[in-house]
Amino acid sequence: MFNRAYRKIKKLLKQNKQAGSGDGAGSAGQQPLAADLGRNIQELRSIFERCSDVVMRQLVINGEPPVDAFLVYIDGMVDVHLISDHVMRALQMNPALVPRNQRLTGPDAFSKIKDSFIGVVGIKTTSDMQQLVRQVVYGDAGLLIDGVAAAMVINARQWESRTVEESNTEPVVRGPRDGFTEKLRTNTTLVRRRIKSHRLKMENYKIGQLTQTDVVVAYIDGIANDKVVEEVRRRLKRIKIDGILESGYIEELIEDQPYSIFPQVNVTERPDKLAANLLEGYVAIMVDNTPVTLIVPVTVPFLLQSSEDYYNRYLYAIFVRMLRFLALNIALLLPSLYIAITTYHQEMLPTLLFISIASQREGMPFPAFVEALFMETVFEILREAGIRLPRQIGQAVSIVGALVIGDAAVKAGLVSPAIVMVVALTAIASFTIPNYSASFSIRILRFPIMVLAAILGLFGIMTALMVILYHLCSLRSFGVPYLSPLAPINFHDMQDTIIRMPRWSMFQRPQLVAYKDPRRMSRGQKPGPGRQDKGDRGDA
Amino acid sequence: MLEGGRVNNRQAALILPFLAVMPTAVLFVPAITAIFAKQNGWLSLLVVATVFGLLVALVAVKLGLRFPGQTVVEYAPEILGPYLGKLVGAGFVFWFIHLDAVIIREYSAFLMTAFMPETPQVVFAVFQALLAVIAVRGGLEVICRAGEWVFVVFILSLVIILGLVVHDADFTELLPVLENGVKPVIHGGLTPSAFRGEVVLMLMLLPYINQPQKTLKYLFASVILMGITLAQATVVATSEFGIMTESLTFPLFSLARFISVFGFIERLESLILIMWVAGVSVKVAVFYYVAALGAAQLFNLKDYRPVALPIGVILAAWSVSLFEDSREVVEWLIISFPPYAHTFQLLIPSLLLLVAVLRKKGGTENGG
Repeated sequence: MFNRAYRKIKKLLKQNKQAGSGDGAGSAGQQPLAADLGRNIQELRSIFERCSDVVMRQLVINGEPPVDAFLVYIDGMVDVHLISDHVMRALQMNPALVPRNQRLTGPDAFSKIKDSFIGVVGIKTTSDMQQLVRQVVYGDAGLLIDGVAAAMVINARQWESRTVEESNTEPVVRGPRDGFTEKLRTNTTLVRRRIKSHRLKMENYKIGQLTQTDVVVAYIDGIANDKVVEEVRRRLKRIKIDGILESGYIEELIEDQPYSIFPQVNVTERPDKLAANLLEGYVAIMVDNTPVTLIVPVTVPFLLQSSEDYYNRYLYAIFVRMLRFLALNIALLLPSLYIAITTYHQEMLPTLLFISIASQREGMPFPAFVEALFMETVFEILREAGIRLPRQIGQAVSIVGALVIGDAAVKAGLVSPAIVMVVALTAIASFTIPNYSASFSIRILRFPIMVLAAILGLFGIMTALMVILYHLCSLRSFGVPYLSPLAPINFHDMQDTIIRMPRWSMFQRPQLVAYKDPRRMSRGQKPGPGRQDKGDRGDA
Repeated sequence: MLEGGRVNNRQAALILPFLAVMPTAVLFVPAITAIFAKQNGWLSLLVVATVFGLLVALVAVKLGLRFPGQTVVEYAPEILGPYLGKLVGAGFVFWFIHLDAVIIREYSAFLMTAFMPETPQVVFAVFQALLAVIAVRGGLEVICRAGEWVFVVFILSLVIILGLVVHDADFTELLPVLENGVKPVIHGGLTPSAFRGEVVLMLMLLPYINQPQKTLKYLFASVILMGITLAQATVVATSEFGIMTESLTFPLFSLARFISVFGFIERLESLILIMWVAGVSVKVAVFYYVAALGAAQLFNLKDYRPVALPIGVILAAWSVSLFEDSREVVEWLIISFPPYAHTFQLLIPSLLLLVAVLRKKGGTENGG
């Protein structure tokens, strides 16, 4: 039955696609510009009809004889100062000031204006009306001159954007404070400033028939796996959609296993993290209008890593990562363990602890499962409320939620004190997961495991864990097994998973993604007193 | 080829056979061996069963190498002609399914006895079958990758349990060695060798290993590792419980109940549960996988996934109706299992190999 429904949907999608492509063909067609300025103006006016933000300016260039010209751009998307200082002023210069041999005359006026009048670096010509319109909506200014069947496209893009700030979702104590912004160019600059090499490639794509969103695929030539890069290109090209508003759109459309609960694309807002990943051979997909950048392929250990791990000393990094791993397990399993042990396996607790829990649960109206489910749901509601509310009120809500509701629920005899602690610990533990989308998976998975624990005790939890393990083993992200290097085991790549080896011992890049050029640094750089390389530091 | 993935020797010849034998063996075998071999059970496990296991491994790999890229279901008709060959193939598929049902039965028998006496057996059977369906549909690669993790968990749990009880073990219980001669030791080794012979799975897995020439080495290592691990568990159990070992159904489980360190690390049965559920789920999945694969090859299907779910239903239902209670399971393991298993593990493969050599079927031993 499911299959039949699927086929039906597929059929519908097919029809839709045909309709869509028919639409798209109209807008992508060629339409040459006319030599007559009046006709072009008329055409442009009809195209930009009811677009109040489009500025169309008719002007006269002081030549011999004077030439009519037409400037079109979108207000707010171009640098007005640049247009007035370097375009308008140049065009309207007093002819008396210009040497006679350089004055504008008839046919070569167009190339003269382009090459020697306008003081802007980015300038192109087009003879296609559609191309011109596309560039104008993109933020370029279009300049048409009477008698020439071509238009100049002047790059004067500038629009309001947020300044570079520290990312909210990935704060660090030690490390750079800059984060990506909504402006793609700023973001690529932030990366390029860190990797000053021509081998850092940034391929541009435009996705979205209406939004025409810029998407940049960044990778380091010679390190990144060509197959992965090719696969990214292929999957991006397959996307046919009206608009891309956030990288999440792309993420959902390029995933390997869309039904999985786990994120198969890594995301970051930190340029330093992105640069580090690029250096290891990963491929980035940067999307305009969002600070969230995608990184592929992703493997599970990645979801537990923070860029700070690489800036702090390695022992601390190992400690913190183990802590996170523990916290991950707490976040996933603690409520279910509580349910399973208090319901089925009381003998596993030390006797005194069991007596204390049993005396708390004396007279409680609900079984442990209902208590846990109730408190977990309350907590998830509070968390969601905390995000949606204005920041100042958000804090009040969390205080009300944590103290008042928790305490009152215990006093009212609805839940036992132990479960409040369990839920609180679970909640705090879930905040230690550095990857935001991975913490979603953990939050959601907690509930089915709780149900299984309530039905089957420890056996249920173990079954759920095995299901998760099998599922994780079957996942792939852009051809790389999701659990690697943990399974299939790759001892070399384990240097940077739950542990992080000291930097001088990680002289090779991860083998699975960067097998083309595995060498990161030369061996034998372990520091120590009296360790000097010949010639390098010998003169000190 | 039905299975697209490729696995390496470490995964499929070292870890997978280990997990295909150990999970049930480590719980049932020490007691069964003790019935015949008494305090010398560890010898049965270390020597008798290992020798048998090595023989099975040798025959299975030699046979497989003659027919590179094919499983026993595929090349049996080549050796014995279409009718008899198909019959042998069908026999193997039946054996895999039946054995898998028994494994599920053993699994639920233990869980019911040890943890959840009030839960009906069918619940465990259904959950285990569903779990295995997920693994089987993922394919051999998925089972192997999961196996690597389970292997680590399994060994760790075993080390913790044995390590924590060893302090009050009395090793004089192991004496005298070979009190009544070799005969009881060999007798005690029959059931363990039937377990160990389950490495015959390699008949089905060999075509999917990327370097089949090296498989034998890994498989030998695996069989010997099983022998050492089982012998260790038996040594500890015997020195802990003495002659009582034979009357316990699950000596290792009783060992875990014994644990008491510093007064608060107590009753680590949960470790057994973790080890057991994880290990057996891989064991069930492996047998299930080869059964599905064999069935698909038997009927010339393009994909084994369509037969996965029906076999799961058979497994769950059959495992419930196979035995009355867990005492009967143990009895079956002692009396009927060895001859039944040895037929498929050593007898038929040896005959196949013999006929193949005589009729000059298949390539040279080094494969193509």
